[in-house]
Amino acid sequence: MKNRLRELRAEQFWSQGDLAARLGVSRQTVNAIETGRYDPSLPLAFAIARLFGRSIEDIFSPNGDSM
Amino acid sequence: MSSILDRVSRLLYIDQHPYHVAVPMPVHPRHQAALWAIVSAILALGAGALLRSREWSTAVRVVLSLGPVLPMVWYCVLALRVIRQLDELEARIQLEGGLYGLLGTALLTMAVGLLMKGGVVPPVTLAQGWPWLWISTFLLWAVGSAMAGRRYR
Repeated sequence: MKNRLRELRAEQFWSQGDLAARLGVSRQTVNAIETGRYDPSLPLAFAIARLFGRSIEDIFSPNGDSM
Repeated sequence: MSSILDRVSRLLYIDQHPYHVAVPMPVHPRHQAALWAIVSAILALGAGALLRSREWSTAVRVVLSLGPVLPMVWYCVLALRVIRQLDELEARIQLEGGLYGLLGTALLTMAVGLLMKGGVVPPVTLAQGWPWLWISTFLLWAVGSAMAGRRYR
């Protein structure tokens, strides 16, 4: 899956650690999601979407889809 | 030096209060688990020495023999608790590591058993070899976790 997490985080001027603290996960998890190495669980994806006030589809898309 | 004392006091669940009153403080389950593994090893050594020291009744032999298992049961409970407290990626990494540990130990046990059967290595009884099962599991778990963790870096 591709995602816009890095871009959305940068808009808020948050570090990976800031975002991790807000989501209650480790910085490694945020980094792995941003680099596309790890796809979050549905509850975490919902938490991310809620935090940025967007829908999951706004943030995550299957590989190959245009963002 | 103070760092070592701090670590020991944390391990023993004791914090030095300004008035020198021992105050229990939360110790991370990971450290508690390590403590119970150490307790089990000490009990195993002690029980072995006691069993060799004289003839005991069967009931006492059972208690002495199985004594070291109880702390390891608690170790397993704490290990599961630690994994449940981790976030989803960390839990996945640790579970993958655990799988490496268990499957790797099963393969090693199979290989060593077959080498014994083939007369390549001298036979070792389960009574002599069981600590190596834990050691192998822990080492391969650590290696497996490190390998799994690298994939998500």
